Amino acid sequence: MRSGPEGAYIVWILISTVGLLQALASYYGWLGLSFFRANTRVGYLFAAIVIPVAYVWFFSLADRNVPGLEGWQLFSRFGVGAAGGLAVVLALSSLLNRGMQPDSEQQYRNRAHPGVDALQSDTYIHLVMDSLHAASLLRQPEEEHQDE
Amino acid sequence: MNSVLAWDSWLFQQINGFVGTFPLFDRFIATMVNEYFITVTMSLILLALWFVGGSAEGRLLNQKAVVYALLAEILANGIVKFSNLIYFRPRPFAAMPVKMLFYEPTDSSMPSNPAAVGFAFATGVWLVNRRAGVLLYALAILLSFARVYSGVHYPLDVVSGALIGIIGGLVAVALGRQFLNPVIEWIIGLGRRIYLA
Repeated sequence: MRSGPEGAYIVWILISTVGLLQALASYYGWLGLSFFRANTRVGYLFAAIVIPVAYVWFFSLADRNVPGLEGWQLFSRFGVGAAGGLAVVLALSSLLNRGMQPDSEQQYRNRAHPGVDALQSDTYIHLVMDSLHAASLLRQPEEEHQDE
Repeated sequence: MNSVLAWDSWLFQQINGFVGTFPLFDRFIATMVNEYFITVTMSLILLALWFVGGSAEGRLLNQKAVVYALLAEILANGIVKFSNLIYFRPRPFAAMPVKMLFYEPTDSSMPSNPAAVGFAFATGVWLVNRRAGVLLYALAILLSFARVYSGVHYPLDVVSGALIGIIGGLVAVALGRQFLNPVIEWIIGLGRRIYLA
């Protein structure tokens, strides 16, 4: 962990992002993104606890009314924290929901209309792997044609 | 000009004079005034807005609002930096006794950068999504008030910062709608292809 306000700031953003994404996953039924697929309402409870706790933790750790991070540092570190939070959610939800299997019609729809709504029926890592697989299948006949 | 500044100082003293009267309120403002609380809350709202929308079309509008808000923030920040090069106004605590709830910054008091950033975010969003925009405006107003109450800015500093933010927001949305939409839609399309938009 980095010392000073920088490390704590990034952790605060990371945790808040995780909580925020869980609330959104519950609201929009993105089961593949949720940590609580069996009962998505727990996602709201999780967010309602995690986000305020992250705020309280950050502000109780040190006096924040002293010179700290500059504007551009706040901006860039927010990006790092939010990206970290997103990565944690995508990885952990994919791991927790690895048994999730969309039917073939749903899978076709997810490929045809990619977007965050595809997470209603599939996990993030499975969606990405599936896209890569589909792209390689599409490329194969082209390569065969070129060989001829 | 001098009478305006004198009136500004008088108004500042009236607002800052309340510090110490309501300790709980002072504590609340001291939490709001720093660089972290409200700016991070606003940024988290923007992050949420990126994913909010009942349909892909609805979400597209919100995602554009997020891009406009970021562009507005960059523009407003640029205007503040430029204005700091040509004009310096000392902070209130340099001119009179002030009850401080914050540390003493050394840069120009006018225009207020936090007010500019807050209003730039709010305007960029408000022009596309009224409800989220109103929420962001409320936070920007709270931050601006907190900066005056805490002794960091004169009222005119935050008003000028707010105007810069609003101008930044208007310009960002106009630029976005007129010229940048193909680029913004391409970025959002890329996000969709990787299931993040």
